[in-house]
Amino acid sequence: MSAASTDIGPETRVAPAGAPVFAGDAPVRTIAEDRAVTTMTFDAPAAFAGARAGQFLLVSSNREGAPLLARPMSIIATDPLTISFGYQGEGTRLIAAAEPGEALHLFGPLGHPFEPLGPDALIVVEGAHFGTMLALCHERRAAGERTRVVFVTRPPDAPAGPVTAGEQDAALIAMFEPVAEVTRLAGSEVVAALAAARPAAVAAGAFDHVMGEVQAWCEREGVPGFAALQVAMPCGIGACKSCIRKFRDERYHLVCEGPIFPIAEVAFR
Amino acid sequence: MPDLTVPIGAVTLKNPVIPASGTFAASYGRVFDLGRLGALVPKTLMPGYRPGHPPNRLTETGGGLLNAVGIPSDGVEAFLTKTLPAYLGWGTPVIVSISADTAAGFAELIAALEGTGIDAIELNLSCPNLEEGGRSFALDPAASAEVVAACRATALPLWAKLSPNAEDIAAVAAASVEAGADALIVANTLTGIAFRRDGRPALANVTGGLSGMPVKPVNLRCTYQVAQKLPGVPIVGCGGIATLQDALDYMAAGASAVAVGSATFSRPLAMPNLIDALATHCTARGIAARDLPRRA
Ligand SMILES: Cc1cc2nc3c(=O)[nH]c(=O)nc-3n(C[C@H](O)[C@H](O)[C@H](O)COP(=O)(O)OP(=O)(O)OC[C@H]3O[C@@H](n4cnc5c(N)ncnc54)[C@H](O)[C@@H]3O)c2cc1C
Ligand SMILES: Cc1cc2nc3c(=O)[nH]c(=O)nc-3n(C[C@H](O)[C@H](O)[C@H](O)COP(=O)(O)O)c2cc1C
Ligand code: FES
Repeated sequence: MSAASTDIGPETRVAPAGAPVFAGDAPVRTIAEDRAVTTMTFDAPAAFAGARAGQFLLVSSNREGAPLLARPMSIIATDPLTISFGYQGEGTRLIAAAEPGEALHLFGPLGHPFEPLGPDALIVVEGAHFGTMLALCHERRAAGERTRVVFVTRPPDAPAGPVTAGEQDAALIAMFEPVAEVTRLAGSEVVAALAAARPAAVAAGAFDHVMGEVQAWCEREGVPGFAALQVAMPCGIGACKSCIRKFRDERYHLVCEGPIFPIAEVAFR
Repeated sequence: MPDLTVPIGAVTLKNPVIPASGTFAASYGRVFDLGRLGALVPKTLMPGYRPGHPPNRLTETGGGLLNAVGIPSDGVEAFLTKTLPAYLGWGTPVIVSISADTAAGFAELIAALEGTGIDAIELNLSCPNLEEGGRSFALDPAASAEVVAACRATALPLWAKLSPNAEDIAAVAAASVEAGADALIVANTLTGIAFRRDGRPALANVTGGLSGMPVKPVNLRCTYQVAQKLPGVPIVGCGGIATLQDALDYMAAGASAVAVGSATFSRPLAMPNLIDALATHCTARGIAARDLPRRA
């Protein structure tokens, strides 16, 4: 053992950055399904108590044959700990198959939350980003702030697992309506919607072409914008260096160090 | 509590469980006490900044993982000022994994690491050898020996990390030990390829390194062959280790310690849980970890 490590001793260990993170099994408390959107609550380990909108956890099934990697899911609420997701493939199918009382493996809270957006914020949301943005709507509502949401719908013929995109979008919009004012639009109409709404801040989680439009509008109008990024995350904590995304500084950055970044920094085209 | 310490040459591991380079970061200290591990192993360090391969860098396949991360590195300066301090001071040895595309590049990195408080150097021989047409050093006994010999001037223990892709891994191991390696890590990933449903390659780099459960029989065979050829040379087994039985299998094949990689991604407590299981196993048998049966 090195002289340095022996001499310093355990009291002076360099504390790793960030709050403690829970890793282990947690029983599913409730599970509800609506048109292939599954909402699950857990008996929450204490580490999740202070989690904020934008943070996520990794969840995986303990069942035989479950995929090796956990799936990242946004933390929608902490009391009780709540996630909500659509069926995409094998990992989410097995997670959704859990029964109340069954233990799933959780790892979190991970990532950095949204910075305060101020009282007049607009959210652009599409597809699997709904979890992050729903969490933000809940958090803003609890703080007494109103939120306008532009929900980018997919063509009804685009498949989204066992139901059509149209059906799944309807289920998701129903989740936003109690906590935000929702407008349902096609992707091409997003810039016109931003121009009409003139928000003081924008948060966007959508496919790249829509994100690029939002970025350009924010820059033109001098409005601060935030991007919620999503890429597959094998470890969630910065060890595997796999969850990368190109930024405008020409470097790749780890998305798990976000997943919320100033929209001006990300390269969308 | 049984005695879990194991000697790997001049380095005494706190217990036989260490992280596999590239699958571990000091941020796991938010999850468990890093001082519990046998040693700490940061991701492979390369001399200068390099971005690594473009995305997609990792995919699930056949119960394992295929990665083409491409060893992104911030270079030696950033390693010494930002990365290394997070690994020192946990009261457990620090093994620094290095790689370069020339033998001289390895030696220069070691010179920069001397006197920084680290305990051993792991030579990741999987990098393409630029002076010999880009074949990985670890595929060839002479090229591996050249790297070890170029590094041997250091007083730090040298651990050579071998590749299961070598035609004759025992020959590479023997040449590395002959050139001065104190211990061997057996082994790195197995080259593979995966396609998406649309027929396009799953990884941007097309080929990648297979890890996890599917590689265990291969790396176990490698461990056995190396241990047969080089009795007495300490071996750290690596490849598909997640459970107590996996670790005991590697020890049966001739390893003294094990490195855990992919398992940590799906279960971040895989290593501390394995240490607990080993402690229970040793207690039940009234033996120390260094006395676990090695049948090779
Ligand atoms: C920060 C973040 C938050 C998210 N929040 C939500 C949410 O709240 N609700 C929601 O519906 N979706 C969310 N997602 C997306 C969700 O994680 C994906 O839909 C899910 O991973 C797809 O898994 P699957 O099993 O359904 O698909 P599969 O078809 O089994 O997987 C799709 C492909 O991705 C690969 N893959 C899957 N997971 C990983 C991983 N972790 N690492 C590497 N490769 C992987 C698989 O190998 C496969 O090739 C979020 C993603 C991120 C990054
Ligand atoms: C995402 C990823 C990155 C890796 N990076 C490195 C690396 O930088 N250096 C290295 O020597 N091995 C690297 N490896 C290989 C592992 O250290 C280990 O040898 C291999 O994964 C087999 O062990 P496992 O089956 O337990 O994962 C990497 C493996 C993975 C999955
Ligand atoms: S998910 Fe592994 S580094 Fe981000």
